[in-house]
Amino acid sequence: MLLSAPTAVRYSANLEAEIKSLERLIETLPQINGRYPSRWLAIQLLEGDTRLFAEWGEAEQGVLETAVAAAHTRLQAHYGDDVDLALTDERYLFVHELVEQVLTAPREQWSLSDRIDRIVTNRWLGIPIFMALMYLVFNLVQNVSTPYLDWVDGVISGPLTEWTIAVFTFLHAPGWFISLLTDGILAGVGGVLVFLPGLLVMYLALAVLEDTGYLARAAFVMDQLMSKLGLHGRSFVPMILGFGCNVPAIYATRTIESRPARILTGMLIPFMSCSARLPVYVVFGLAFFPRSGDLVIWSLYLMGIVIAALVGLVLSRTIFKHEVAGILVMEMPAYRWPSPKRVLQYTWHESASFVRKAGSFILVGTAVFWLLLHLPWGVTDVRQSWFGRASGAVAPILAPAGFGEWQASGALLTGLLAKEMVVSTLSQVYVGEDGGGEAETAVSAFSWSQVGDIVVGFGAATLDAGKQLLETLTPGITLFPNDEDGTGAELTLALRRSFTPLSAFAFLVFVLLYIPCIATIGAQIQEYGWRWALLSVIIMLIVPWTLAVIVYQGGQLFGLA
Amino acid sequence: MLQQVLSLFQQSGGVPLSIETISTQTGLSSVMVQQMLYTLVQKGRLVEVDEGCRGCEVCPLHVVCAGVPTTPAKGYLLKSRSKQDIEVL
Repeated sequence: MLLSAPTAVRYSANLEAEIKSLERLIETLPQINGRYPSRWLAIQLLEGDTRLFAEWGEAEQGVLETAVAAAHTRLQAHYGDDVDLALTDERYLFVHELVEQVLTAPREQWSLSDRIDRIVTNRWLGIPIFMALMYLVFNLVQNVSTPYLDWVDGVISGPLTEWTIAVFTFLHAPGWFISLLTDGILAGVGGVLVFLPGLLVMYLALAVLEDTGYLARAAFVMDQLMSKLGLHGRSFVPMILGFGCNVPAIYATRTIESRPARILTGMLIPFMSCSARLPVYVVFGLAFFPRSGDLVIWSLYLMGIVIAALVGLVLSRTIFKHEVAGILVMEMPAYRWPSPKRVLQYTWHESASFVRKAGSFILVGTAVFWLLLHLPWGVTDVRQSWFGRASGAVAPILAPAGFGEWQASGALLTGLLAKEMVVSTLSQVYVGEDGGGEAETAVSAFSWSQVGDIVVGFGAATLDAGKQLLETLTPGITLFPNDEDGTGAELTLALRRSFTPLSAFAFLVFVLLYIPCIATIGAQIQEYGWRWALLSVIIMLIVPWTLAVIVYQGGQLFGLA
Repeated sequence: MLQQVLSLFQQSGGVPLSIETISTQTGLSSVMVQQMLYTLVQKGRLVEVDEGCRGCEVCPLHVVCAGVPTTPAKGYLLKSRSKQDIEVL
């Protein structure tokens, strides 16, 4: 509305009547009339402003006081004791209506980050979006890495092993030394390195999520859930780190001020599935769930979070009762396009760390493990070896969970050193057994054609990975025929002879939840003391065994075996 | 409109209300609410209380505020009725 002339405030009829009445009275009083606008003065008097009375004579004052009191009495029938407020209220109403007509408030401007956050941190959508993204990541890990995995596996178990045997046979090395190199180190370290492509894909995906600013939102989104379960709000940040490696995640709990909350968080972090567990999931996923391996891996990660939440709920209501409280306060970085440099740096750093570990700790571990398989010296049946006997002693405890074979329990024992050792051990005990132990057979001399095959194989794997990437990111497109058999790696075939899909899943549940590695326990001792670390170890033995048994026995009850 | 605001205070059970709270509950802009509260204070219906520190002690979100450089919000309360009024009531 365009105003072309001054607009007066008009009150409701009963107020206007009293104002007019007072106006007329004021105009009859010569001492007052003309000194002030009569309407303004009438309103002031009705609103109780008596300061002007002092300027007038007693006669005028008396006349006006009587008139105002009479007006108030009449108006009280409508407004009670708040006659003065009634006038002010109507002015506010007039202003409000006027502003509504002439003022168009600009729409609140939302930045792109704010608009994205409204969806991804939404109370109801936040957690499903986080789960869906994690599923996509594991889908990529499984599908894209499979061609490379087969290629690396073929190179290590094929030409590399053959060349090693050929070279050391030529050098007249003793048979046990060649066996150590091929059955021990190449099978063990190679069995771990074979998962480097999968980890590269995962590190790359996590780096992209982190660099875009999404992971901070993931912590925020999950915090809502964790807080509802009675956990410390800040706990989820170190827990997110735990997906990479549990050891730095435990040290990251130092940022939590309250010691009880710090200890509780540190006891839950081992349930977060670190990247070292991924090779175990992938090898079993490919062997037993070729069509839904990604879903199995995703469900394991989810299970880790849920179990951590439930254990946290129990502990916070018992041991840490009344001691854990808090709320997550974190600054959300704005969303941005991931920087290729930062993403590649992160991927390189994490992958190099994995390779270094494989080249040092796991190398020594596999050598020691090979020795335990061959002691007492000259033993021909590995079940009679020191390792076989120790594993056999533990095996009956794990039998109710469906994996009571000495090989499986042995893999879990070495997994205490580092989770990567689980796959390494399985490679040695299963593939070693199938290969007949000594490796002097099937030796072929070096030839350039083998090098050519390796290069061609890498190219084919890259092409296949590209197709898988396209297939994963474009629902509806099928570039690969469904392969029920999945990969034909030696370990895969050996595992299929020893596990059923149900016992394999129970095994994975156990791997997910039992002690991650001795380094994690060391970090817990250092940070919280040996008593809390001992309690954590006890929990990490009871919970996985119980759940694995429930999965296996429950599955059998439902006829899944 | 002023009556609507006053009725909010009568329903608050003696808990101070801030401009933001009233603005949210009435749907009026905070600028307008601020002016209305000023009027009600001038007319002797409300008193202004420095609710900042006292409020933080009982507020479950005080950890959030502690990390944010904001001035504690002012609160408003109904002015106590006189002893005579209470006896009449």
